[in-house]
Amino acid sequence: MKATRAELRFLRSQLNPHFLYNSLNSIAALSKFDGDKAHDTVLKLSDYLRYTLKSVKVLSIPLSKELEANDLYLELEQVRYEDKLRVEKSISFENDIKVPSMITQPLIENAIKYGVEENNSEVILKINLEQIEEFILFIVENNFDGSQKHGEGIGLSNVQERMYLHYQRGDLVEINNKNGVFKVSLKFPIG
Amino acid sequence: MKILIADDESLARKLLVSYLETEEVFDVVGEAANGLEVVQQYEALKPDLILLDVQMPKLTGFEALELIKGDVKVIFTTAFDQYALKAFEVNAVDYLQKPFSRDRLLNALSKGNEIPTSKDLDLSPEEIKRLAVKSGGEIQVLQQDEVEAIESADDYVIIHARNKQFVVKQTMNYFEKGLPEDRFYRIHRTAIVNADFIDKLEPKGKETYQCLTKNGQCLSVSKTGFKKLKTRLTW
Repeated sequence: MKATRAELRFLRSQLNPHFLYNSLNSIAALSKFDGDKAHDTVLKLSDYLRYTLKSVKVLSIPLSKELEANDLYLELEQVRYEDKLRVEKSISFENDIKVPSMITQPLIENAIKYGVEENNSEVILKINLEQIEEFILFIVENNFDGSQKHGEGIGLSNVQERMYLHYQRGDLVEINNKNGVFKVSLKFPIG
Repeated sequence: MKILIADDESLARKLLVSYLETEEVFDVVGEAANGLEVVQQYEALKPDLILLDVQMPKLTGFEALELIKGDVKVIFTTAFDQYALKAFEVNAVDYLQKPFSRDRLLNALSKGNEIPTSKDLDLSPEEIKRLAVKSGGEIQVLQQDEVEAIESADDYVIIHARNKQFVVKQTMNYFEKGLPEDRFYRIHRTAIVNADFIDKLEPKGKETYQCLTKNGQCLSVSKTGFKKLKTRLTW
């Protein structure tokens, strides 16, 4: 029962209407000024929605697919925020393990919500993925305006809950908030 | 009609500009990318109407509106539906959910000519989480937990925070309703105190007390105010 509720909440959060309507608004604007980019953005949004809808049907998904969906999501957010959002990625892993579906996206969404939406200046989003011993470590970091409150958000508590339900251990999610940098790490056990 | 466009996404602003560029009666005089700019641009340009996004950096659309003390009409533009009721409460001309068509915007703007301005709005938020105050020419944003005490002064209130005093045109009731009652106590007709900042309570008269804050403010405490503090705080 608990698992079902977490899954339902997750589904609702994935079909984030705020993100969807703002993206559609960007497309409405682009279709007037930049037809090619509008076209491109509609296709990206479609792919992303397809992944989202699929992800609620399956419990786990290859990590590589997760990362592809993250890229789509980031590209869509980049359309909205333009040069306000800078993404620095460093990705390296050997084992394409299966992970809970859409488990990494809420970290990025949260970073954008509290980093980019609350900031005037450029926000640097660092995404790091590496294999360390028997874990694959996924880290999202963003700077944020120190005067703003940085909530942990429903998104992150849902990630914690789902990681626990999936792996039956509570030490796989770490949240740090220091000196204007917010950092969330997920540890995926290999095998 | 002079219009100010406020949205943190530049594409969204560009779309609104394009909707209005062929309309001679509607003159886009400025664009703001966050809540602070809304206040600054309002003061510099005195628009008749603001197309106002709700979720913006620095200050939300509602917070920016609280700082604007002039006659201005407002049409909210947002991707959210949950602010519609609040928009209605502040007498907004209309509430447009993104994305919306040019016709929908023009229809809203035509209503703008008939509807009164937002002067004397009754803005009573569910909870005041942060507060925009003016000090000199600057706008500062105070977080709820920075507010030490609030005292009334005729039509104004004085906010004590950051070892400074900020004057705001608001009522004590507004703050009493909007601040969480387990932390902020209305200890007198003229005073609200943040319990985290209480240093001590001293007897003053026969049945009255005064409350000293950690930063040395001295606040009046009424008989009922004292009872409230006594029952809620464990000393």
